[in-house]
Amino acid sequence: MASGKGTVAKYIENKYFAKSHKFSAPLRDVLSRIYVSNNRKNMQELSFALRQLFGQDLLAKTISQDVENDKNLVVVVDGIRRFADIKYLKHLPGFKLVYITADIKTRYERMTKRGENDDEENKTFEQFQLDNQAEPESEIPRVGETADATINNNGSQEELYEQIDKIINN
Amino acid sequence: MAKKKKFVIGLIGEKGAGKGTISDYLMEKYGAEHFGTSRILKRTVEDLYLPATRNNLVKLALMLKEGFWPSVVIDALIRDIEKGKAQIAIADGIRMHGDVEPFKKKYGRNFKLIYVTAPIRTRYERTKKRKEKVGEDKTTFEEFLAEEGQLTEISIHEIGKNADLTIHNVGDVKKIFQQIDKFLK
Repeated sequence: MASGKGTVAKYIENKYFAKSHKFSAPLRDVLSRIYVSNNRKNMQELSFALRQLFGQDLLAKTISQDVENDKNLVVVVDGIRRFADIKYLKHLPGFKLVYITADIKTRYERMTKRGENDDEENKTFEQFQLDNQAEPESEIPRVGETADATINNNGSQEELYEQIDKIINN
Repeated sequence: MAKKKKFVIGLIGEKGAGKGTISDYLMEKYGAEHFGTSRILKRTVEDLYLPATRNNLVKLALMLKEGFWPSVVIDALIRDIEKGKAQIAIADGIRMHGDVEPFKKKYGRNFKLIYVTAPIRTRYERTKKRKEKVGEDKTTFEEFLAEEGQLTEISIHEIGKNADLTIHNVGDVKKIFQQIDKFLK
């Protein structure tokens, strides 16, 4: 959470004319259609219920299909958390997994500033730590270990961009 | 100036009963605006690349009701209606117990429920022709009968019994439209 995935996605979008897809997009769409708050709890509960109803790999399949339908040369998939998330993506030709990480204090400060979801602004550091240990966040470091590249986003934006360019031009 | 309260016509009917025909007439003749739960359910199912079968739509509706609150889908429909411009709104896709009450609470006597129905053979033939939902054209009559026995289909009939107007949608369309005109006067 708040490691800088969004910044990386934006940078790649602008510099490489890419399009980014988020796992949470269909969840956000459903919640906005029924006028229900898109806080983390609702998103997770909806994700859980949808997967129970239509199959555990539902969202993995959906995003893989979205990427396949995308005509852009570079496509970003934002928000991979579990091994199950890449079940289909990893079979797409040209797929590269990039792990973005940063110190927990830095991430906490970033999150309270951005307010992406309805409940982020007022979250305590203790609650943030608990969120990180809970499903689905807890699986991220293990998935990250299998990544093709790792970005440590504790420094400046320039340093971050440099790391991204290196990965893409590799 | 206070906004004039909308007039809402709820449509309920078994599959193939011909809600679409009634809805089209209300739009043409009365300038009514159409709102349906399919905006929520069908689009969600399509976003997930799932076939938009009746079964999947019902499953999704039940899940949302259970996961959030019982009237979550109908409440969303009412919000959509309130955002609309027309004075008369059609609320399509009412089918489960509890679906009618939020409308009555919000619109009182300005809400009327119309139940559209037809004999099962007629309805079966119609669904085969229209292909509105995935797989509909390939359903056998036996399968159609079995689907009719599902709880979510039975509730349509039960709620329909208490409707303000029942339309037997067979035969001369003109007579049916006259019936609607008389009712709305």
